[in-house]
Parts: sequence; structure tokens; C-alpha cells
Amino acid sequence: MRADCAVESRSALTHFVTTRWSLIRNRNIARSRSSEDTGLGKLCEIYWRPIFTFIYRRGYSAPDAQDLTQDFFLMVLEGNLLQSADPKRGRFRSLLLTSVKNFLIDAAAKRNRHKRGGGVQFVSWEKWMSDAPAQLSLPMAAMESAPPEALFDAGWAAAIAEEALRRLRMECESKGRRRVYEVLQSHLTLERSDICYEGLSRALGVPEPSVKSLLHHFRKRYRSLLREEIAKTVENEANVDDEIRYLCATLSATLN
Amino acid sequence: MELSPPADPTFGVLAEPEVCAECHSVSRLTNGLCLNCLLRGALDTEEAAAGKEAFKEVLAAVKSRDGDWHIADHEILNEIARGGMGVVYQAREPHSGRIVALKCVLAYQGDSDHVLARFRREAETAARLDHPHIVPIYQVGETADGFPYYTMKYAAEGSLLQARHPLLQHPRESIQLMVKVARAVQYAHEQGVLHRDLKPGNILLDSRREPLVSDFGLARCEATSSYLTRSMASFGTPGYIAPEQADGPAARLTATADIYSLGAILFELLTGRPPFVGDNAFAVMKQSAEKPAPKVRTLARHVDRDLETICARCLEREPADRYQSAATLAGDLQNWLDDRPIVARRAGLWVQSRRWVRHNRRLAALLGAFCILAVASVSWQIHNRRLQTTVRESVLASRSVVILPFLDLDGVLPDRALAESMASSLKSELDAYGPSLVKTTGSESAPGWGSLEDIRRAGRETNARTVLTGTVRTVEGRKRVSYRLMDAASGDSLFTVISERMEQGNPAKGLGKSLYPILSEKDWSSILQAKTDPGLRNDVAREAIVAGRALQQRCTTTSDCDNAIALFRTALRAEPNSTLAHSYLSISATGRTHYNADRSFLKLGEEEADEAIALSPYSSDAHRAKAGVYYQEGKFSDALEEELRTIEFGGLEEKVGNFLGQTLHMLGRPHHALNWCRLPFNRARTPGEVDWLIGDCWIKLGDDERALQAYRRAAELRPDSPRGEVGMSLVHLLKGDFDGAREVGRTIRRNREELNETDQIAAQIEFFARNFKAAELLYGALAKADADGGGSFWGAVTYRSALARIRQELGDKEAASALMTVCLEKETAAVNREPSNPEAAYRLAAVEALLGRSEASFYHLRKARESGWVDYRSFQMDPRFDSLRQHPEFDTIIKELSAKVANMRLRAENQQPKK
Repeated sequence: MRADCAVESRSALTHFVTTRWSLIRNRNIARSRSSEDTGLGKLCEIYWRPIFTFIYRRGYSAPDAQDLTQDFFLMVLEGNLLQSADPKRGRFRSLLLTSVKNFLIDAAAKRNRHKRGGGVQFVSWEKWMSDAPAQLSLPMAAMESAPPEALFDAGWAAAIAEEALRRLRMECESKGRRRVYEVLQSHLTLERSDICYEGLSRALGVPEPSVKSLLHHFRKRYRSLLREEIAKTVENEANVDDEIRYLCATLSATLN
Repeated sequence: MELSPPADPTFGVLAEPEVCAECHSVSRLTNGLCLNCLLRGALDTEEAAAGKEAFKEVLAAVKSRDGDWHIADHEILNEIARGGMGVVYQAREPHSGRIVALKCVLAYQGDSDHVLARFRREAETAARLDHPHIVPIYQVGETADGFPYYTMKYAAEGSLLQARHPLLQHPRESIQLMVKVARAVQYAHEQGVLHRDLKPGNILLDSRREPLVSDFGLARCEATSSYLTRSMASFGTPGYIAPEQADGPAARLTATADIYSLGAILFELLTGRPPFVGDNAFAVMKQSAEKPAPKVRTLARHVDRDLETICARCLEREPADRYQSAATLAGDLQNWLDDRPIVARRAGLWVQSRRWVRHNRRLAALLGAFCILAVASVSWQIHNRRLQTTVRESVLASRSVVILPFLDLDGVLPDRALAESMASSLKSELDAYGPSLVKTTGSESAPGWGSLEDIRRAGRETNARTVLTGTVRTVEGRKRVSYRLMDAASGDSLFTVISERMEQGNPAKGLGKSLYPILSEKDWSSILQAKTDPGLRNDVAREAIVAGRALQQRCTTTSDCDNAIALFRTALRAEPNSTLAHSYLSISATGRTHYNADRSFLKLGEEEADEAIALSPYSSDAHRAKAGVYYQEGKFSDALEEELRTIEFGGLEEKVGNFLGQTLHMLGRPHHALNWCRLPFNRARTPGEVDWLIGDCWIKLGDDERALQAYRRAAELRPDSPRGEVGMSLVHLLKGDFDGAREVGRTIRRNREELNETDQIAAQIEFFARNFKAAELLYGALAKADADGGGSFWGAVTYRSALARIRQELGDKEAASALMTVCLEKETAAVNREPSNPEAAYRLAAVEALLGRSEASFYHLRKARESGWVDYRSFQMDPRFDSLRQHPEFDTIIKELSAKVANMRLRAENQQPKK
């Protein structure tokens, strides 16, 4: 049986990225209550959806799940939950999932949750909810049959891809080229052979050869941003590919 | 247009999943991009990271400033909204400079016929409505890319979505506005158009704050019986749609459904919230179907009682109890504005008595003398009859089957006639048990074994709950048929059975008994649960299976195979009864022998495949594993049988066409192999991959031009694989154009460590060109890495036998003789093990020719020919057969084979689709 051929290769992310791990271990952050000026605030902003999804899918009502998500991130912020975490033992994704599971099991946490927050709105709910009702769309059947863990992973994957796309859009906008983003974004996933450069050239008002080069750079930049985002959640850069593979495998195995 | 409020707080709900053409995943980001592809694209990239500053420089150099953005000559100013189907821009019209709203299909949906049809219909519907309070359409057309767009009046003040809160303080203004909206809706109804998705976001406000009803995306023209809107995607917006709309797209809606929505908007304008709110769409729908709407004044005490009454009348659960036309609603609202008595109050008494009658039927019967009762009971009976009809219709809908064309496995063609006779046969079978609905699709419809999409489409178009399809082939003069019943919504298989002997006049004989209980089942989750592999129900096993499968799919090195094997073993430790894990383990073990001829792995593959089949005799995965084992064992006829079974049990799945094509190719039936390659399914699923196989087939059929075309396509679509280029090189080689072959060979990217196709073809070029010194070096290196070679050999030239011939030629008799002894031993064992493998017989013949045993060699050549060896061109060039050249039988073999090939080629050309 002739098998497929593909190259196994590793990309080198040569520049430095702050890993989410380093945020967790930095106790100084924990003393700061304001989410805005810390990396952790950023962290919540990116990853609140998968956490909220998981809690909601565990059977809590939407308002309860909102409160619990809020409290969960607060505990992360206080450094109570993840202090014993060992970055060598796994991905940031699985750590958060395990932590949120433990958090839900902890009855005390549940009982005291209203006290805990102390009125601090950590997750600015209304703003984020209205930004985009959901990042990910799934078929009804998949949503109802997939276990909460799989939906967490799907939400996680979506959060990472969205963040990479958001950064890409911001970069385009900062150069007055939002149209470039709008026109090209749908071509990020197309096979090379399916791309109609002539159409793109018309849509952007740029000659075809320039479109080819532009799209090449656009896709390349996107890939870099995505890998940067993933690199922030794994213990070292060599694991980026493994993490992507894991997420793809989960998506195709549980949601199809 | 706006994004609907989240039906689910965690994810958007895709009522109608769009399966990604590249990876078949169904998860989409809000911008419509396939999440799986977005991630996968960043995998295994060799490139250096692209920095921010460099990218910004690239952007700055592009002369495509946002200010120069045009669509169909309109200057694009801003994005107003983006939804499931389209995007709306604020745009400047050419020449006039007028500011308009331009709506167009999202580029990534431009290839979906369904979306395009819906969009065009929306534009057409909207364009033929001419009313001061319906948003006017200025222009309908197509962009330069061929995507439909239309322009309409730009609503400078947004929509009621933004205006609803300020309006709370001004109920009179709200009512004036709603009168205009209701009159516009009445006009649309008079034109035969139901809106079906009225909500604050769809009531736009122009610069004078005049309302404009917009977004006829879900509208249905009563005159046309289009099924386009039947999908759940066009469900409407929970909170604003009538309860009967929740019964699904099949529900017969009337104007009163729009009246309900107008009532819900009015309710929100008076109280600040829609009548029903909840965590999610289902909770909202459930409430609206089960509970009466709250009274307006319970939420807003200051509102006039008459307005509360008007609202309540719109929001009645029974359509018959609502205003029967938008005009009456408009009239009543106008009555309130003019301080005249409203109609709704008088009708309220009537509605109340009907309600009372419904809830106190027995008591009401005793009071038969009352006139009101007489009227009520007549009405009740009418209602009851309607209810009965509805119940019957819903029973029929739940027990509905659409039969799609069966796949004729012999001709690789859809058998529509069988589907037709199956329909009447199945109908009479099912009638013995109870009511059911059996349909077939039109003759143009796509066969159901093609893809999940086809199944779902058939379900949607015919409104059937299940899909029945299958395969048919002739085995020992009898028709063997497989039947598969699937859930039309998800494509999940509910029932599979094989009939060894189909009765001509009654192809569905005995099927009704099995299908009826399944069709009657309201909820298939227990059936599906039972069908779920135990390995997927166990967390540890599932994780290992998923990870192993991902590795397996890209499996290119022995270490990939080993890692996958280890993962499947982990899965089996956690769940020993997982057919899936056994099957996949078998596939990885067998696949490993492609890279390294270690037969212990083949044995493992065989054991695991047998175990899988023992656990689940009808599992297509198990049979696929077994097919792979047979293939690697050179038992191609058995492999063919197993592969056909995978289709019978599981339909066409990824790569099955490729496997069948390869097997038939090995069996010397390249013209049949082409039939499988040509299935449109292959192209969609495995672009590029099927093309090199097509090339291999045409090269065997002696059509070098077509072979080249196919290899070129393979090289283009799969730049990561050398196979396209290797094929092109082979075409030159078989033509005797050695320089051409070398030239192509040099361009092949050397990006593989363990795969040696590139080196193999290079060695073969020199060998056939009789450039023995160079060939010795190349074959020497290959043999050093893996003396037996794991995979297939072009022209069945094994490294050792080639080296033996080379040493012979170079005068090193001793070395040649030692190699020949090893070869003879190996190939004799192979022929004993694989008596029907044409290639094994041919390989032995080659060794025998080397040894000068011409009689034995011709004997095995005849054997090879009988079991399907047709590659006479490499036979003709192969230096290993030099000792036979003077023999008359040498030419006879070539003549016979070339005649056979010419005949097959003729047949293959006749099968070619007419352009």
C-alpha cells in the first residue's frame, strides 16, 4: 500500500515570546488586582470563552456559568490555583482544563463564589459578549453530543485562531489596509490551486503578480501569528506542532 | 442585517453544517473560515517566522488603500454588518455619488449553490416590493467575480435595535412607527410574500427616522413551492418568531406568523424587552409554545391598557386567535392613536370564551343550549380535524425515507433504476406495518454514496427524515445488494444489511420488517450510542485513538508508524474491545511494511485485522484493515473483495477509490482502475493523490500523453509529494528518452529521508539506459539502506536483482552469482506465499532469466501474464531479461501483451466522459 508522503519538519520560532506559563508563575502579577495592566487580563480576554463553555456545558445556567468563570479567573489571578502547576508536565490548555474541573468540584468555591469576587468585575461580560456572540459555530448535533472537554478544546482552538486573526487585522488596519484583510482573510484556508488571483486583483485593485506576493506574505504572517499564539501556551517551541496536531485531531474526531 | 442574538451562549449553532471541502471538518469561525484548516495551515512550516515590521512594509508597498476600494463600481466606505450569508457595506454609488447600502455574498460562501440561490431570491423578492416603508432596492447585479450583490437605500439612523431604548419614553411615536411597519407588511402579504423573520434589527430607519422593513432573506413566496427555505438555518430569530414557526420549516405558516412577530416588536418597544427571554433559543421557544405571553403592564405599568390588549392579541399562541391581517393590526393601532375604541377588546371576549371551552370541554358540552357553545364546538371540530391531519402528517414525516441511487460496484456507476423499483417494493413492505412515506429523488440528483453532503442535501430537498442507499454487484451470477439507512440530518448510519441474493421484482423484500421499528423511533440516540465504538466511549482510549489517527493520516516514516502503533496499543489496553483501535493498529502495522519489509509487522497487521473483524463483522474499518493486509501480501483479488466490502458496509469513504484503483491496477486492470479514479468523490477528497494513480493507469495503457497530463496535475496539486515528477520521469524512461527522464528526475525536490522513490527512479533510468556503472552506484546505495526495499518497484526491478545483472555485465561473476542465489530464494518464497501476485511471478521470472533458466523464466512470465502483468514496455527494456531476447517467445509475449493493452486502452477511452 503506497502511503502518503509529507515532510516532517519543525519551524523555528526564533524570537522571544512571553509564555502564558511565565505569567502564571509571576507572583507579582498576582498582587495586582487590576486586570487591564497585566498579561493575565489579556489571558482572560482570550481564553474566557473556552472556560465559560466548559462550565456551561457542565450544566450550569448561563448566569451561574458567568459567575463561575469570573471566579475562576480571579483564583488564577490570585495565584491560588495554579501555584503548584508544573510547566514540564503539560500544556497550558490541559492545565487550565484540569484546574477548572477541580475548581468546579470544590464545593466551597461554589458556595462562596458570590463573596469571593468582592464586587470586582474581572471579566467585562457585556462588552465581550456583544463583541461577538460566539467565535465558533458548530452543528447542533455536534454541540449536543460532544463531551464538555471536547467543546473546551474546540473553543480553545477557536480562541487561538481568532486572536491570531485579530492581530493580523490590526496590523492591516494600522497601515490603512483593512480592505486587504477583508478581501484576503477568506483565502487563508484555500488550497493554492483554488485561488482566483484575477478576482483578487480586481477586488484589491492591484496587479496580479503583486496579489500573489501579497497573499503569500499575508498567509505567512498569519501562520507566524498563529504559531506565536500557540507557542505561548506550550512549554517550549518544539511542541507547537504537536499542539496544533492535537487540536486538529480533536476537532476532526469529536465534531465530525 | 445583524448577527442574531446568540441562540446558545457558548457557540453559534449551524443548523446546516457546511462541510469543509478541504478537510471535511464542520467547525467554522464566525467569519466562516474552517477552523481546522486555519490551524492545519500553520503546521509543519519550514519557513522562517514572518515578522511584524516586515509584514507592515509589504502592506505599505501595496497600492490598495482602503480609500480605493470598489465593488461593482461602488466605492466601499464602511462595513455595516456581517452575517451568516452576506456582508453589508456602506457604499458610494458611481456617478450620482449617492450613499447606499451594498449587500453581497461573503466570498467564502460564493461556491455554495444554496447560499447563492437564497441570496438571489432575497434580492428578487425585495426588488419586486415597492412600498414607501419597505427598503427600496436600487440595483441588483453581479460583481466582476460573478457573485450576486444588490444595493438598497442606506438607513442612516440604523435600525430599531438601536432605537428601541430611546423609544421607550415615547410610546406614541412607537405606535406611529408600528402602524407604518404593519401597513408595509400587509402590502408584502398582498404580494404573496411572508417575511418570517421580523425583528427590531430588520426594521431600518432612514435619515427622517421613517421605518423601512428590510431583509427578506427568509421570505417565502406563497406562489412558489421552493424548498430553499426549509432548512433550519432559515428558522427565524427566537424571541420574535411565532410558536408554530418552531415546529420547523415544514410548518404551514400564514400571515399570522408575521403578526406575532410584529406583536413581539411592539411588546419590546413598550416594555424594553421581548415577550420571552431565556438562556438560549430552546428555552425561549419552549416558553413561547407553552406559556401565554406576559402582559405588557406587568412589566411597564404606565402603558395604556388598550395597547396591552393589542399586543396580547398579536401574541396569542393560536394563529386563529390573532389579528388575521396586518391591516387589521394597523387599523387598531391607528384607532388607538385617534382615540377611537380598538377592535381587539371586542374580540377578546370571543377568544376568552374559546379558551374557556378548550379548557372545560366536558362542562361546555353540558351547556349545549347556549348559542356560543354551538359556535365554539363547530370551531373545535374544525380545529380537531386540522389537528388530526397535522398529526398524521407529522407521523408520515417521521417515517419518511428517500431512496438515492445505488452504486453499481461492477460498472462504478449510479443505478437509478434500482432505486426506483426499490421505492415501490419498500413502500408495500412498510405498508404491512403502518403509515410511512417512501420517495425517490429526481433523476438528476446526486447519488447518496458520494458524500455526506449529498445525503444531507437529499434529506433537505425531499424533507425526508432518513436516506436509504447502498450498493449492488454481481457475485457468482447473483445480485449482492447492500442497504444502508442513514439519518438525513447527520448522515449517521442507522442500519446496514447485506442481501446475498436480490429478488429482481422485489428488491426490498424483508427490509420493511427491519426498517419500520427504526423509522418509528423518535430518538435514535440509543441506536447510535450502541453503534459507537467502545474505544470512543472511554476517555483514555479515545484520546489515544484520536492522536494515533492523526499520526497515521500523515504517516510518512517508520517512526510515525511506530508511534501510532504505540498509541493504538495504549487505546487497546484501556479498551480491548475497540474495533476501531484494532483496525487502526492493523493499518499502521501494515502501512509500516511499505517503508521496511519487516514481515513481523505484516503478521501483526493481519492478527489485528482479524481481531477487528471478529469483534465487528460489519465494520468497514475492520475490512479496510484486512484489505490493506491482503494488498501488502500480494493477494490482490482478496484485497479487492475486502475493499468492496468496506463500501458495502460503510459507503465511499476517504481514499477507498484510491485503494480500489491501486488494487485493480496491480491486478492488471488499469482500465477498471480508471473508473474508480474518475469518481468525482476522489477529486474532492484527495485532490492530487488520485492523479498520480490515473497517471500510472494511463502509462500502463500506453497513453503517455494522458499519463503526463495526470502526473503534471499530481505534481501541481501535491507539491509535497515527488510522485507526480517521478511519474513524468517514468513516462520519458519508457519512451526510451533517457535524457528527458534524467532531466525531470533532477528537478524533484529531495525532501524525504526514508522514502526512496526518487532514488529508485534515478537508478532505474541508468539501469535501463545500460549505464551500468552509474546504476551500480545508485542501486548500491539503495540496497545498503534497505536491501529488500519495502515498497513497490517500478517495472518490478528489485535492488538485488538489478545489482546481480550489473555485476554480471561488469564481469564480477562471483558477486553476481551470490546475489542471484539470494534473489532466487527470496522470489521463490514470495511466489509460494503469493501465488496470485503477478508482480511476484514476474520478479521470479527475472531472476530465472538472469540465471539463464529460460524455460522456467518463460513459465513464470506466463503465470505473471495470467494473473494480470501487462507492463510489456518495461519488460522490453529490462536488461535482466537479456538472455531471453533471442527466443521467439520473447516477442510473442510482447506482441500478446501489447494487443491486450491496446484493447484495454480502447475500452478505457470509450469510458472517458464526453466533453
